[in-house]
Amino acid sequence: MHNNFVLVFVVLIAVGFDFTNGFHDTANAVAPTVATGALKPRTAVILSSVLNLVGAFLSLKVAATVASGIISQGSIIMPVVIGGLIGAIAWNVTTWYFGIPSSSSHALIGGVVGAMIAHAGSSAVLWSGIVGKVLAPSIAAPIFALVIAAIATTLARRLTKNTDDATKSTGMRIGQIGSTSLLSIAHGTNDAQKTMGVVTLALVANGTLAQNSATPKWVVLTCGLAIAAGTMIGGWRIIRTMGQGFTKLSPTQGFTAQITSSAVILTSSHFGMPLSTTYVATGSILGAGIGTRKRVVRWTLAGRVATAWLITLPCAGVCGALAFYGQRAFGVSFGVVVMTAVLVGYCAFIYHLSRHDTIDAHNVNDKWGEHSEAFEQQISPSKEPLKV
Amino acid sequence: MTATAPTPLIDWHTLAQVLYISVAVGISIVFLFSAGVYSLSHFRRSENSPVVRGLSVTAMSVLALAILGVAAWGFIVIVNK
Repeated sequence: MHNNFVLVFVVLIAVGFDFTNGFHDTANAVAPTVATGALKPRTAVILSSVLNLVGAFLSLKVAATVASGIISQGSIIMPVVIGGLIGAIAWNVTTWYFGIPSSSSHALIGGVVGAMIAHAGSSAVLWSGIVGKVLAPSIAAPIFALVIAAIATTLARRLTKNTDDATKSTGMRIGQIGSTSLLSIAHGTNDAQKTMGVVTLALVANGTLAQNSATPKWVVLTCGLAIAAGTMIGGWRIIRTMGQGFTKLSPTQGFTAQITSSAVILTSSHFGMPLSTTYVATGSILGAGIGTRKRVVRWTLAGRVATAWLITLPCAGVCGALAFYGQRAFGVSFGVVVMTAVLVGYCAFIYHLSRHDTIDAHNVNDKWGEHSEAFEQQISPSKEPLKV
Repeated sequence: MTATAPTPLIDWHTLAQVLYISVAVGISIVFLFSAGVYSLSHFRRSENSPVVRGLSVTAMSVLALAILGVAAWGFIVIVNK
């Protein structure tokens, strides 16, 4: 009974993480589509949501491991998983408020690593895994995407120089819808499975499932629905940063950015080196900006986002460690309840803050600087104009 | 006696493969699609020239098939992960 009580909370928190993962990463697939008007904002988000759900059912080869190759698997206990999930949710919600496109996967890894250090010390962390599986791909992903998108945009611009604007605009927008669909399916497959893995691990750890059991259908359905619901809510703040903040996207740029993201993400999946979708999508949009004749990009904003990427692991780690200590202070069962209550309170506080300047489907495409742009305001009150 | 080579910290080989193939796939699709848009534009402009229209339609069909093929590859990669 005691274990089942904790298990219920693990499942609820994991589903909560999946939900935040959905709305945090909506922008990766839909931001250029929304920014160029290829689809209406609400339509784009609904399409992405449905395809995320489809993606969750497409492949069930779940690697039921949390931060595999990054922490010592033998040392994982339930409070570490809970601490990691709470840390990741806290960081996701914070970055969502500031409109920062940061990686949900890295937030989860950071949270679990932080909780693990609190539990078993730094020796339980495989630091070589952090460098090889997290840091190196994090640096490579946006650079790859940026370079490819810049070349592709230049190529597309030159090839379609003599085509009429209406045909070009319509053609590129149709292409964007196709690439948005592919990205959404890929995201549903990747990220919903991540949470399915966490829940399956918890079920096995609790003795509810035997070792090497297949993921139960209710887990697949719950995780698929959670990520789809999160996507449906639409992380409008991040969509705004990616669609309007970095550069002003034309249909051609939007198309090249999304094709680049699709190519890099699917190729890396094929070779078993999944790169962060968020970092790839951000690099692609920056590259699409560089590929224009005037090379129009807000580099200060890009630098700030890159800084946020650098602090994602340590900050989610601190949150994860605090959540672990919180559970230990109150005892496992009561500690889970207390930490869940703290998390819900924090999420409600952030939601309340966000209501002061709501970004939604109606104003997501407003000119950059017309809203508080919370991320920029916290660091500098200036509204940087596009540099030409 | 043969010494086992230590596993590299960063898998440079896979990273390089990802880069090469992403460049090839990404730029090829953009090239094909842009060429398709160019053909469509010429098709619309040359209403009275059957030769140009025929060439444009052929080009568009071939390019559309190529793009569908690449999209199918992407779908297979997602499913077979």
